[in-house]
Amino acid sequence: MHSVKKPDVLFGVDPGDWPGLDRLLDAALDLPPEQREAWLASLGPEHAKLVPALRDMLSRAPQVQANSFLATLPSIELHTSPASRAGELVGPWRLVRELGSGGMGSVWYAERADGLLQRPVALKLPHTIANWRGLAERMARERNILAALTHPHIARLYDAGIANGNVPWLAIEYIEGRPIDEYCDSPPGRAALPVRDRIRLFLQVAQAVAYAHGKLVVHRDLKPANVLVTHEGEARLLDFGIGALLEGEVAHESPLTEITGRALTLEYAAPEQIAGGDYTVMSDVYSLGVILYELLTGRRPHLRDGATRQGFERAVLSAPPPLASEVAARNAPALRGDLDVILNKALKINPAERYQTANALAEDLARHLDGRPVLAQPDSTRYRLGKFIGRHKLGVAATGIVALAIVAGAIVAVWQARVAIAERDRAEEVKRFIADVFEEADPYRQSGKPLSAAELLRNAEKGIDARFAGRPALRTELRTVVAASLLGLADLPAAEAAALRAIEESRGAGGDAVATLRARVLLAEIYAAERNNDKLRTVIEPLLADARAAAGEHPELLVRALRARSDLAIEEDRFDESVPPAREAWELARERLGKYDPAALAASAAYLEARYFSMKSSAPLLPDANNALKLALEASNGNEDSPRVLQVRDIRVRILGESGDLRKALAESDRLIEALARAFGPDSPAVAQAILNTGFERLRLGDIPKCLDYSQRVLDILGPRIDHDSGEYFNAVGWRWRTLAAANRFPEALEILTQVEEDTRRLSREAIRGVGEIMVLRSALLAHLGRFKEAHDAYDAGTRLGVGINAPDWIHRVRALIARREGDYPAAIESLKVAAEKAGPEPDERTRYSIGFEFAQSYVELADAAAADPYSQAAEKYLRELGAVMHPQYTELLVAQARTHLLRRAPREALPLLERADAYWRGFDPDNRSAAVTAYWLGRAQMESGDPASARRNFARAAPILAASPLPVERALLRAPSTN
Amino acid sequence: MVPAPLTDLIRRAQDGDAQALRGLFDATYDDLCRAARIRLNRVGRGPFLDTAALVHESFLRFVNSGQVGFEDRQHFMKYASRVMRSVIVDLVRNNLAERRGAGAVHVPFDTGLNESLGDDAGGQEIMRVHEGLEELGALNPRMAQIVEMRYFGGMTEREIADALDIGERTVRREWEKARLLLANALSEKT
Repeated sequence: MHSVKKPDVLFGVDPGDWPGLDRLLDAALDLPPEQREAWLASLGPEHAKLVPALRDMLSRAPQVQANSFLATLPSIELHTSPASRAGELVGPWRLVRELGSGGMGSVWYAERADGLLQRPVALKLPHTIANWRGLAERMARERNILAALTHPHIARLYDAGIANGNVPWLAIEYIEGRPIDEYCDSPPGRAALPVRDRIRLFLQVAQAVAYAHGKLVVHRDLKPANVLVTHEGEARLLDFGIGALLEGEVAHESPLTEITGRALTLEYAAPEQIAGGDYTVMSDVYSLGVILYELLTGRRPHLRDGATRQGFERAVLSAPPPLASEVAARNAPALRGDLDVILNKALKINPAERYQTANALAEDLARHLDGRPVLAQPDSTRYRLGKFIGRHKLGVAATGIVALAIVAGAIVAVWQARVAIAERDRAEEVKRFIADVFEEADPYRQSGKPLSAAELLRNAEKGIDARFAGRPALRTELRTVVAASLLGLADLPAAEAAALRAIEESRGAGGDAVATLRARVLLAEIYAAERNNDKLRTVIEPLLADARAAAGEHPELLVRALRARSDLAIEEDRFDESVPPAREAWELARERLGKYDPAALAASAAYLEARYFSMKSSAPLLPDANNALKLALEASNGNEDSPRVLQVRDIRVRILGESGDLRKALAESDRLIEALARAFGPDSPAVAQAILNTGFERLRLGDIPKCLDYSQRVLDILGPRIDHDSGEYFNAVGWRWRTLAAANRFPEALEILTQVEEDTRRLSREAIRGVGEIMVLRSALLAHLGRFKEAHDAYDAGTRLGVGINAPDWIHRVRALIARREGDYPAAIESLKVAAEKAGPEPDERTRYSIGFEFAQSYVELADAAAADPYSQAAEKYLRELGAVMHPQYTELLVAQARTHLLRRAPREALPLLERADAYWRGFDPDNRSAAVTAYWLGRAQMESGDPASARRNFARAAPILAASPLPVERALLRAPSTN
Repeated sequence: MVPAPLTDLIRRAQDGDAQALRGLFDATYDDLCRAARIRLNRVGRGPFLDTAALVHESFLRFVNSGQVGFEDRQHFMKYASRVMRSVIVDLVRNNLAERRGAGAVHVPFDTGLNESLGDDAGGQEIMRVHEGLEELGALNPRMAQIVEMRYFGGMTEREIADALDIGERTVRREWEKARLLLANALSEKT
């Protein structure tokens, strides 16, 4: 740490005298008070100058001890609206409006108070730090160096200072613009920028960084958010100069960095930064590389994507990133070659292998733009494509909501309750108890491994009897605290046991009725979290009655009890019954507790959820969901990750999914999943539940890789944690096999589905119908695998048992599919006509699409282009309007369309469609049969457009896979002559 | 094995790594600040702010999300006390700004009296202690740290003793002396 300049006199004591004074004070305090004056008088002349100070302090000693001076931190009133700071003067500036705030402090739009300069600034106000002595000198030194950075693409640091003695501020040029990644995707009035324009824009950034490096200033936190682009298309780097100063080759910590204390933005950090090593010019180069990679490909070189922080770090530190051209969402051809090589060099793990300066990077980019050879050399080894890493490791989250609600409330509310109830010394006692509880967990006092939080709470509970033998009310209170904390940590069995003991005890001698009621309410919440409907049902009615009686004094207990009642109804699928208690809870809470009270917020979310479940289409709830979110955010001071807010976000995402904009809903769902992983751990059931909640929508949108990854993840999380016979687990497994089927990985899908059928048979709940449905599903998979006899058997047996699916057209569609796979296209068409009839005059879009898709496939096989066309056009329109991304079924549609072009002797029109489909398969699963089929048709189109060489290559690629296909129609492709 | 993120930072901060200290600060500031604001927002809150609870809860949250191990509790709380101090002082600053020019209030001795005077005096006390700690830190860093952990962090004497690896009696005595010094200083300033 930096040395602190010692002031002259402190507390009336010369620092040099302090050691002596300290010793004397010790001696004096060892004496009983009445002897101190005499002792003071007896001190020798060498201590004479300290005596007055000593006497003064000792005179206060009795009062200090008696009055617990400074024993507790006084409470403070909170002015919540940041706008209250507007108009405040900080140094020569006046605050106008807050621009943002975060871990490092807040940033304000500010003007000069004296109106001298017209130019407004962005005023950074870092958090209070200890150790601000000597700050003034350090800031002055810094400011001169950093203010000297003048470059058209760097936001100026105008000035820095300290106001009011200890409030540091930094005045930075105010820039209006958007982050560079957003700008590139949607510049004002134009379409997304092409590759060359992005590079040109990026060059501005690289040049700015090079300039600063020349002045020995390193940025250290380069990321798109720090690169704004103005309306005129000029890049401006922010937060520059708040980096470290380079001296020699090693970075020293700049005191300004110390003040602003930015957290490490992991996604853009260089490997050596993550590993905690020295930060140099090359580290900035790495970050630049990440930014450029993202601008050109649409994604970062290493994806977080659900990985734990450690997993991500490990990836960055050990795995080279995939080639940009192989992962680019668009423009891949333009990236192949030079740009791949340049990015590769910028992103080398070893700093010594990177571009040594930002200048060198900029120059190579300029060479590329000019068409001159670049200096960077490609690696000799090829990179594998970065596939999504399936997370291994480890859904009691009911609807997801119940568990979250409880976690949200428990820990905070319980400790608050403790403080609110207790007088000070009682609170002190409880506090000491809790502290001792933690104390017991000290691993150095135990032999063996350290205890988990849950274990220590359980131990604590055991200790309550001994410590508070004569204090039954306090015991109950403590047990309730422990139980609630255990609930918050999701240790439900222990929580239940603790709550039961609390109730039993408080009903005994000297019990306090309210304490008992409190414990009973907690028990109900625990049952709800456990989804133990039977037990909950037993206790809920009497509990409600008693809670109502106590509602005058303790409304929050009734609110919570009503919520538990609502949850029970949801669990029992009696959705209509869930709404009235939820509404009552919400209204009561709002009226008596205030809308920001945790219990009120929980009630608001529960009310929203109850209505969601009770409505067929929840789209009308969207405005209410938005309001509830707003409320929760306000109460959490804008923290989007607080459990309270997460709860509402969860419900809102599902409503969004039903309101039409699928892409938006799924993007929001992705964010929610990340937030849940952060809040509860990546392996928590809450994460699994949130993923499942939007699982089927994701399948529809067609992001199959993500569905594969997510579905595996869900199973990994839930597998060891919940009953495999539970509804949740069935849901999770169901999504998994459907995802595999959508990826055309039929053998794996079949395996899972077969197991599901066995399990369903075993559990004779409403199983008969379920089994029928599963058999029909299985028949479709069998057909894809060429096992036609089995497929027919399963189909017939399934339809005999009866299927519960509420879609009368469905079984005919499956029939058509089986026929198509067998090659009996006329039969397929017949079944499809029946399906269309059953679907009725106004089928929903999804059904229309499914039937149309099959029609197109079969008509194409029958070489009837005219008939196929309208169906394939309509199907493609549906997918496009849905915003679907490329996925296996989409490629089959493209192939069908391409084949109609071939039928019309227009092979060149077929080519782009087939190339698109082919590219998808090569990137996703090149060994899949569908990849081979696509490659085959691509070859046909190429052959017919006069490119036999490419055609032969593709045939050769497809041949081995097709030869091994279980479907006769696919094997037959290789033998077909060139005419259709 | 890669250590949990906060554990790693704590260990490095123990070794005097200033950057790690800052990293800790950043990682925990927001969490504690929010928790404090939520607590202060509540209707019917008590007369004092229970920072011990806030710090414990924060710790449990970080344990739960795998960012710190249970065995790091004491060190976590030591650093969390410093963060808490920053959080509280920032919050008070937001309020004091409103009242600037109203004239400083002489902080009486008896904290009980303090509370009934209302939050103005409370905020003033906090600021005085904060500033006083800076001076105390120049004289005797450990004493200042003890005050920080006790007053801002709400830690018990035993917890402080364990975190600093000294005896409880020493903690008690240092705490006593520190209060005498601060009492001296706080009553002089007007």
